[in-house]
Amino acid sequence: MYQPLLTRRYLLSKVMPLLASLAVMLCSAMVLIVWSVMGGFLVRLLDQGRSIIGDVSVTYPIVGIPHYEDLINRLEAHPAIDAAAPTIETFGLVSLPTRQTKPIRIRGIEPESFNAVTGYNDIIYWKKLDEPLPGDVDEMDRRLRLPEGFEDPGLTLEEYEPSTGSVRSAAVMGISVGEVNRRNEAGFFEPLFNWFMPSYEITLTVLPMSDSGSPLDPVDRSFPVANEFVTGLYETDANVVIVPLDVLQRMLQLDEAALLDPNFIPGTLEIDPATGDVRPAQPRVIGKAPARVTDILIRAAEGYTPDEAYEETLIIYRAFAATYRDAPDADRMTDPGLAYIHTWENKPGLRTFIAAVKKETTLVLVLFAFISMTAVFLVLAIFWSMVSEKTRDVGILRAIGASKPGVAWLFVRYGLAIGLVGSTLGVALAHLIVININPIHAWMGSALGVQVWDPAVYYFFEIPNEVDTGKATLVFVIGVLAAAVGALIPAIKAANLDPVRAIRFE
Amino acid sequence: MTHAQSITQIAPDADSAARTGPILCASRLYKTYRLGRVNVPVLKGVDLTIERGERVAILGASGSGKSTLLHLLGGLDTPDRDGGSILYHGESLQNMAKSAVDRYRNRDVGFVFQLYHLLPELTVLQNVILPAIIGVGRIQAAKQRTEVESRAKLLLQSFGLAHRLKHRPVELSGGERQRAAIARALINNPALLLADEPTGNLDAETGGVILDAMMNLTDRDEHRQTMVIVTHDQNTAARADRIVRMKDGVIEDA
Repeated sequence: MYQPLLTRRYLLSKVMPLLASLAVMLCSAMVLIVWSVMGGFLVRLLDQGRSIIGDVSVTYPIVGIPHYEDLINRLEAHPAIDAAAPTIETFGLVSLPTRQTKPIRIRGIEPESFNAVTGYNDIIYWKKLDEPLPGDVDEMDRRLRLPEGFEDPGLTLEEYEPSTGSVRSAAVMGISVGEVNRRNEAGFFEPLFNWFMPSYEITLTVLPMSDSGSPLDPVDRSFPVANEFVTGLYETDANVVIVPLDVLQRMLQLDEAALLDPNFIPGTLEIDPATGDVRPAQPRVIGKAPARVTDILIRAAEGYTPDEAYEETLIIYRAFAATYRDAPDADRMTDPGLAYIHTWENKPGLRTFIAAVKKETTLVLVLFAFISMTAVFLVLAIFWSMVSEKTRDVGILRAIGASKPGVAWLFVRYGLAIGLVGSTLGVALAHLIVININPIHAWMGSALGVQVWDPAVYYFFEIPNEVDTGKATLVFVIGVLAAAVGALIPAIKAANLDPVRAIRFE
Repeated sequence: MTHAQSITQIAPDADSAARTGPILCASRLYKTYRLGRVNVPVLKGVDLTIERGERVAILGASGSGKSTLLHLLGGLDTPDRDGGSILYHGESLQNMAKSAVDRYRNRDVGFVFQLYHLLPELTVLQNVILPAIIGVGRIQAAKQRTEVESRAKLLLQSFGLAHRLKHRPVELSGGERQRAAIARALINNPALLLADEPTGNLDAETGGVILDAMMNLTDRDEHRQTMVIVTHDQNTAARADRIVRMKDGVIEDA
C-alpha cells in the first residue's frame, strides 16, 4: 500500500496536479451551473404554468361551455378533483392611464374558486409587507408603507367608492402590463414616475361574438385598478388583466339571456294588441340561454396526478354532454388531438414550448458535457507529461518490487485524487455562483453593462438559482471518473515502462 | 547490542537461512538490445554461480555488460528468448509468475544504484520504508507500520542518518543519499544485495565509508547476506570474496 503515500506526496509537490485539478474544477462547475440554470428554468416554467392554469383545463373558446355550474359540481364531486373554477379568457385591448393602448389577454374569474385552483391570492403584489426584503437596506419598498388590507379590493375584484358609496367592479393587472414598474436589484418593484397603478383606471375593450360566430360591435368598459399581480412568468405578467367573471360575461354576451325564436325573421310586422297599431314584430322568447365560460380550470386532489384527474375529467365530461344537448360535442371535446380538455403540460402552445425548452436543456447539457470532455483530455495530457517526468520513479518502484498493476493503480489513484479535489471545488464553486447568480448578474449589468438575462426573452424576472443535490452529486461523480479515465492511458503507459530503461532515464 | 545485531533480531531471513546450495546460478546468459535497427549483443553466454553468503565483485570497463548482468540477476530484466536461465535457490526466474518475480525483487533482492535513485518527493524515512509497504495490503501495512518504521530508523541510525529522517533527498549530500539508498535496500533483510557502482558517484573517502557500512551491516556470521557489487574500481572489487572480470559481454576470469 505505497500508493496512498505517493499520491499524497505527488499531489502536494507540483504545479501539474494543481493545474489538472483546476481543469476538472472549471469543467465540473461549468456543467453544474448550466444544468442548474437551464434545469431550474424548466422546473420554474412548469411550476408557474401549473399555478396559472391548474392541473387540467376544459376549454371551449369564444362560444363557451353552457351549464358550467353543473359541470363544476360534477367535477368537484369526484374524489380525484379538489376544485374547479369557471373562467373566461379572451383577447382585447387595454387603454392605460399612460395614454398607451395595447393588445392584452383578459381573464374573467370568480376570485374564490380561482384561488382554490390556482392560488390567486398569493400572486397579488401590493399588500402590506411587515419586513423589508433582505436586499432592501434603505427600506424603499413601497409595500412597507401600505395600509393593512390594501390588497382586499384585488382579492375580491370589487372597489368601494367613498364618494358615491357604491361598489365598482375592479381589475387586477399583471405587474408589467402598464410598463411602469421597474424591478430593482433588491427584488421588489417600484413604480416609475409615481405611476402607482392602483391609483388609476384602465379601459378594456373586447369584441363579443354572435351565436353564429360573427363579431359584434366592440364593447369597452372602465375599471379601477384594484391591484397588480406577479406570477414570476413574464409572459403572463406583461399580458394578462384579470376582471370579475360576471362582468366579462356581460361584455362578451356570454351571460344568461333570453333565448329567442330562431325562426324569427327580422323586419316582420305585427299588430299591437293593445293599440291595434302595426309595429315591427319582436322575436318570441322560447326559453333561457344559459351563461357560458370558455375555460374550467381544475385542480387535482391530493394523491392524484394531473393525468389521473384528466382521465376522470374526460369521463365526467362525456356524462355531462349527454345531459345537455347544447353542450359542446363530447367526441370533439374529449379527442386528445384537439386538446379541448388537456393537462397543464399539454396546453396548446405551452406543450410545444415546454418540449422545446426540454430539448434545448438536453442539447445545451450535451454540448457542455462534450466541452467538458476537454477535462478528460487535459488530465490525460497533464498525466502523460507527469508520467514522463516520473519515468525514473516508475523504474525505482519496479526495482524495489512494485508490480505493473500496482504502478498503474498508483497513477489511476492519482487521477482519482485530482478528480476528487477538482470536482469538490467545482461543485462548491458552482453552488456559490448559482445561489448568487442574480446579484452577480446585477453587478455585471451595473459594472460591465452586460445584461444576459432579459425577462422578456426568458419569461422570468430572476435567473433560477437553486442547485439540485442529485445533479450536483452526478456532476461530482462524473468529474472524478473523468479524471480517472484521463489518467488511465498514462497509467497503463507507466506500468508498461521497461524498468531498466526507466531507471536510466535522465 | 550493536545496530547490526538489533536489525538481525528484527527481521531474520529464516527461509533463506534454511536453504542450501548456490543462491544464484546463471547459465549461458544472452542479452541483446535493439538500438534503432541495430541489434547490440550485450551478454554473450555468461555462466555464473554465486554461493549463499558470498561476496562477488563484477569488475569490468564501461559497456562490458556487468550492469546488464546485475539487472538480469535481480529480475529487473529478462535474458533473450532461449538466452539461458537464472536459478534462484534452484528455481528458474523465467518460469516464475510475474507476481512472483515482483515479490522476488521486493523480498529477496535489495538494489543499490550508482545514482542512489531515491524518490525525491519522499523523506528519507519514507524512502527507506517504501519496499516494506510494497506488496502488502492496507490493513497489514497499518499493522506493520510501527515495526517497519522502527526498523528503518534503526537502519538509518546505524548509517548515521538519524538526524535526517524527515529530510528530502535533495537536502542530503551524495554520501548520505547513498547510505539512505542502502538502508532502503536492506529494509526487507533480503538474501541478496545487488549494488551497481555503489561508490561510483562518491569521492574515495566517502566511498570507503559507504563500503565499510555495507560490509558491516551484511556481515553477520549466522546470516551473512550475499552481495554482488558491480564496479570498475579495483579497490572496491578487492573488498569482495571473489572477483569476476567481464569484457565484451563474457566473463573472462571468475
